[in-house]
Amino acid sequence: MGILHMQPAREDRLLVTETLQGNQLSFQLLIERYQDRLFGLVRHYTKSAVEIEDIVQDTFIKAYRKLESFQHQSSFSTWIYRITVNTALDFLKRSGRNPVQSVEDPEMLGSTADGPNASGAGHLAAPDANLQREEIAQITQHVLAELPEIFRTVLVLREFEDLSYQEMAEVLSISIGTVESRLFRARARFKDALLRLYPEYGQTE
Amino acid sequence: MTMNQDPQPPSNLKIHCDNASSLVQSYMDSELTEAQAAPLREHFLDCPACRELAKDGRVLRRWFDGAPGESGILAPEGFASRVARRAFAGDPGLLIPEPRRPLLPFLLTITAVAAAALFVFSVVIQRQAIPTSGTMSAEDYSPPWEDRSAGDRWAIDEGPPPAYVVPTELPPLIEVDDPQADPEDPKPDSE
Ligand SMILES: [Zn+2]
Repeated sequence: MGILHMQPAREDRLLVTETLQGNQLSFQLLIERYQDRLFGLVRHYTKSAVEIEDIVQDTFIKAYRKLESFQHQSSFSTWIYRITVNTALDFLKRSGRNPVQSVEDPEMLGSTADGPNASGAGHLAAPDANLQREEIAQITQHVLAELPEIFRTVLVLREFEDLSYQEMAEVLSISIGTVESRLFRARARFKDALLRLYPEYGQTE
Repeated sequence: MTMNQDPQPPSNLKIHCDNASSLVQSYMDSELTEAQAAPLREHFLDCPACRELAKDGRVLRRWFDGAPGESGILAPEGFASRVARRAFAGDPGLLIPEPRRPLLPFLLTITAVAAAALFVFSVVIQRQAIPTSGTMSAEDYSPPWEDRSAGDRWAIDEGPPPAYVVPTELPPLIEVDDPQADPEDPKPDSE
């Protein structure tokens, strides 16, 4: 069950309606409900605080400009996540960073770029018991940063934002089947990258 | 317990390891209905390989337990009111698409391609105009853009049309250095 569905979507709907009626304060409240989550999400695409702020700000401005087209078919949260991910990826593409995200078919990526170990051969050990949460998070961030955006995005949405497959499909405009296969490849990639960058966490059988 | 999604009785829902990996993932992500999860759990009992898959999934998850947030960046003070004000003031946003960066390499590429195509075209044109044997007939010298049947008609009637008289010796299109002149000098590249 995704966290998005636990949010009181009715309040969102009311705030959207009031914003469309010209109530600036309602839009401000809507932003306040989502700003921290979106800052956390965008953090996975750039380390620069200025860029994160720019991207989130642009997300809300885009959302405001498109608000009339938001027909409540999906929840506002799914909709704003979609705009955020697209804005972040767009930003990276335009600033010439990590062009792999433009490859639309992850299956293509899998066959060529993964290499022989891509299927997740080798076993990963759990983080050391004496590692601090902060240290684990640092390693995970480092490994995530190594992955192409297309894979990083599904991992972040699933593991940090707790989105369901259905919500991920809506955010990324892909089928649930594609969510499954992309997530599967992303996890294999994550595991491979972790073993490559931190071989001490490899486990020999 | 309902089996809406699968008309087959549960006893026929045999899990095969070949397609189990995505099923195991969905199971670990709590995306399976109880009806889908039950046969998988049964399969785990007899299949060490799939149990191992599930274990790998659990181990991987632990790397995401040190969730962000602690080191997370929060929106700065006054962010919401500032952005709402800008949106209502008709701010178009900071990141309006401006494909300035990708445009230059693109222009360079198409310029290079156009230049190469022009060169090839000019060589082809020149080639077609060079006599390939000592005999001359109208057919050989009808220009490439000329209708073939028109050329044939001229050949039957009165020989080549005067507009397309081709000189017996054409000046070379490209100046080729005489290799005898300087043996050290590499021959010009055909590119
Ligand atoms: Zn099995």
